[in-house]
Amino acid sequence: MGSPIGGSAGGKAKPLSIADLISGALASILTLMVLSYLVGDNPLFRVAMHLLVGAAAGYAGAIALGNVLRPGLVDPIVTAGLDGLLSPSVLATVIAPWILVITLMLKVSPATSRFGTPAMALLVGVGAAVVVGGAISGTLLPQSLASMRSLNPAGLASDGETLERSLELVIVLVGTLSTLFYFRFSSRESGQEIPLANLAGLSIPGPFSLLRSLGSAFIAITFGVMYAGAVAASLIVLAERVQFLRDTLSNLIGASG
Amino acid sequence: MIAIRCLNCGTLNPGLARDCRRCGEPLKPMLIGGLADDEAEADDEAEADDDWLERMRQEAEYLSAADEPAEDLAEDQPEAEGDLSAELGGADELAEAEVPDWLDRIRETQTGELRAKAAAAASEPAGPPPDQSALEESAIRARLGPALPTGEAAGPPAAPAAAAEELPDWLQDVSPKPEAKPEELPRVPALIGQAPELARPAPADEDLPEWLGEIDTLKESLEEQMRGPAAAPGSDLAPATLPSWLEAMRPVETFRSVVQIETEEDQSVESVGPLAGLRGVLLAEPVVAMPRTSTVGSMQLDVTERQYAQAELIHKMVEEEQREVAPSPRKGTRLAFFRWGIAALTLLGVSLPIFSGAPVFALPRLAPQELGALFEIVERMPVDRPALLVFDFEPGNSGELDAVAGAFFDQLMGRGVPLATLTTRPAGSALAKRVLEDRATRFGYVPGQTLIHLGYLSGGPTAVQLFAINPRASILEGFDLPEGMPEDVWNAPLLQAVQNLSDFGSVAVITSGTESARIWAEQVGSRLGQTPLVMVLSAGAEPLVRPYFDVQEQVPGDRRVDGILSGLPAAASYELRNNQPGLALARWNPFGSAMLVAELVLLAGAGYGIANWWLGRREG
Amino acid sequence: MSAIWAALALGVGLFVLLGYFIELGFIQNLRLTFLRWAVLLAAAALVVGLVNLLAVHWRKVSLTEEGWVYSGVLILAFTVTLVLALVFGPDSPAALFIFNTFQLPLESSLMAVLAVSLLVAGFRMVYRRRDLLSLLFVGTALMVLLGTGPTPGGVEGPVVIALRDFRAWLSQVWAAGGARGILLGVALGATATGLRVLLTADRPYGN
Repeated sequence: MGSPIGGSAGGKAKPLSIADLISGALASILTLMVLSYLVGDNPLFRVAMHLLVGAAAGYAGAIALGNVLRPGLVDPIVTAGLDGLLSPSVLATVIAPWILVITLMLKVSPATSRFGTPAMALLVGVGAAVVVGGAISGTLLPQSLASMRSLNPAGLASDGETLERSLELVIVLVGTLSTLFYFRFSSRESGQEIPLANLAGLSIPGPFSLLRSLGSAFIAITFGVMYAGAVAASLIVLAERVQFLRDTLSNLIGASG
Repeated sequence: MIAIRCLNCGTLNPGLARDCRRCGEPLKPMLIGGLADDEAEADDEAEADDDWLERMRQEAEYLSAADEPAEDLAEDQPEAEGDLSAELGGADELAEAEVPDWLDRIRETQTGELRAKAAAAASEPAGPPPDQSALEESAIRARLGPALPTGEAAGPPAAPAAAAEELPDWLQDVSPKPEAKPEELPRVPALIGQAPELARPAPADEDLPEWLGEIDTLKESLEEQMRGPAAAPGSDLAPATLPSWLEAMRPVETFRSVVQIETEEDQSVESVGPLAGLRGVLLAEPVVAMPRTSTVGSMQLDVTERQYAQAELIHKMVEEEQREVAPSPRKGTRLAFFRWGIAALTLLGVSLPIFSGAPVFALPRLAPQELGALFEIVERMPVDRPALLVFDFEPGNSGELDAVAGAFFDQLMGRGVPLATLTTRPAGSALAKRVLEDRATRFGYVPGQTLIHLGYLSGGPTAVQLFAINPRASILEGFDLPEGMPEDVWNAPLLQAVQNLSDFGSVAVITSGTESARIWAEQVGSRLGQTPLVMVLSAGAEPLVRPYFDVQEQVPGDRRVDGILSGLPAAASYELRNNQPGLALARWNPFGSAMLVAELVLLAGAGYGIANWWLGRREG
Repeated sequence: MSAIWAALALGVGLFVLLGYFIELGFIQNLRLTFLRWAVLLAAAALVVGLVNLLAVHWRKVSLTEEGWVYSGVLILAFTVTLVLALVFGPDSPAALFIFNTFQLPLESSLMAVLAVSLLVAGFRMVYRRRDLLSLLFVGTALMVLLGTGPTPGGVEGPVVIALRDFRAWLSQVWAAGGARGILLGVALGATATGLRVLLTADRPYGN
């Protein structure tokens, strides 16, 4: 069962069943209920949102219970049997997680919440270590090395880099450093630094202020590009929704006709 | 006789003792009841008074029998004896009954000294008062001789005691004549206090002088002297006038201890701390912890008008903050015309090409630079190793990513590369099935044979790291597995050769968020080996993922992201290059129309803002 | 007791972190075990969150608080989806019907509404914040849109090509510098926060 978008995908449209028609009709109604928010907040939109949250939560719960917890905790016990429960591998891979999961489940109630602390501590400890390890080995080191080597004359010469490319690399490097500088020193008041000089009534800011301003400019440019990308992406989705409505309408008309 | 308290153990010792009788430490005697506040020594003082009184009685008889100057001496002696009574309250070991010669000598010396001082005071109306402690010291020394140990309450070095065997000539000259009457002596105003109003001693007779019965009065008067200049009631002496600088020097008693020191026997023995075993240790709690008010009178605040006005202002400000703000009246419902207008424009721009087929937009002529690299990577992918497709986006982004990734899937499946899908989102598996099901039918893929869904990885970065280390330990159950497949998904023919992440032919992450892309780039990058990592991204996520793609240019050998595909224009170019029109081209015209509207809206907004600012500046 | 949990978090985190840099066998095995436990616990945490969600809305319905009808709709949708997906499987036609009919169109429509919201916010940007940075932000977005969007007509002219090149220059040079700085800053922040948790300066798991 796929999205009933008919022939707009470039392939042959398969014949639609009753279930597909009903599904299409229901989906169209829900789409219109959500698009009604463009007029203003209304009960139809709220019903649609609560339906979404309920359905998404229910599906996520089923996935977590059926695809993770059951094969991870229940099936091994069934496979190992009561005799195999005391083996070291089962103790480490099944019994210990069982204890942890049960204590974590106790967090549901405020009265027993504190018993879930060890499980949370383990989860948080592992999560923090993964984040730190990934950040250091996956981002900090490679990105820093790349920034340092970007101006390597040997690299530029071997690629036949032109002045334009060199300028681009300088811009990237300045952007990197000034953005980092902005994050580091943005908490200080802008008025703290004494201006470098005063020329004809204009105060030339000091190096720190200049770097901060440059950093904020680069951030504005980056976020501007990201904003444009987000607008483009959401417009594509809007186009897809309108296309879906058109296709469903034509399918219903075709089916009724 | 002075009683000396041992500084080490607090035991009272005789005045002549050099060492403590209890602990054996050399004695530095304290003047007991130095300021006549020592009520604990009342009993000792009472006993000493009795002995002392007896002595004085005997002296008086002796003196009255001796000569007339006894009257003068009787005037002065109460002061001296009053001093002595204050200082020597604990003395109880002096010899009794007989008045020894040395006592006579001391008395005579004392008389002479007093007369000399009186004369000096008369000639110097303003001057520092005679040091009371020096007087007392000299009196004591005169009585007890040089054997007297130095006391703590000793003031400035006392005048050397003149324990003369006989009156010197000058004293003899000034010794009172029998015919001299006490009232003819110059009355020198006391600088530190009033001389007590004393009853004149009666002529020598067998009755006790009246002054002997007024020992208590003497004590009180001496106390008054020690406190400061104050006119004793009934005194006909003029009150002393202290100069201002002297008045300022006087110590002001700001603290009066409320602790009453018990007798030695009643005192408890300290049991803790460095003073364990000692008696008379001051208790910290009743003194330190006891709240007490200062004896200094409260100060009168001198508030100026300005300060008062400022205080009132602050008070009002605080009151205003505390006052509950009344809810502002609800304004009439504002219709969102502005938002309706933009929504209508956008919907019109999107709908026109869909419903009417116009306008038509030009197809992209130039493909992005990285598209060529991606095309080559897909062309080089092995067909005997599965490619791992990670569907890490929400269903809400499927409208865009279905179109962007479509050409990539078409090229992959067109080459017959086996596929395995994975997701870290609960709904990702359903999305993967939905996206690939029709294509699988179109390209002849068999579920379980050339296409398999590994399912859901829970835990975010933790799960990705686990999968990178050991894929088989992380995935326990697949998704939408065909019937007849083994329960363990890794036993499927497609995945039997896969032990590590690098055993996959390629890894492609389809995601709309930078967070997910970053996690995969960070966690799996070092475990891929020669397996290429490709990112298929939403247009908004590209800026923050491109640095991972650019790294390999600057750091050869350190590969993070080998290929990148982002945005509908790149996907449309991809479909054109594949020669397989797909969703990207199907949405090209509505996309173009909607983008035109967006550009107009942004331009109008910027122009409106600038115009508003400029007009505002002109108005001033 | 809090010291014990802190020691647990520290010890577990230390082994996992060391595994990034040291290839010793027992460290890798221990790391694998902890990661597996964490994956299971993450799924359990998801379930706990869902139970809490259900409890909140159940309370609203039982006390008939404001909006209890909507909460009732949520509980109904949750229950039906969960039961169907658990009984028949999340890959069953019934569960996928609910997914394709309800969840997918609703989320897509929300994303579509976002397009209008973004445009409204973009229009008001310069009007509300009249500074150089706002102008730079909107100007960059405009140039990228002009360089990204298709052009009406048959063939792309030289102006359009110039716009595309400028757009590529903006996003691959200027934005790349800022993006790299942002990534480094995010990585530094994540490292600092993670180390604070590992060194028990922060204890988000409680005492």
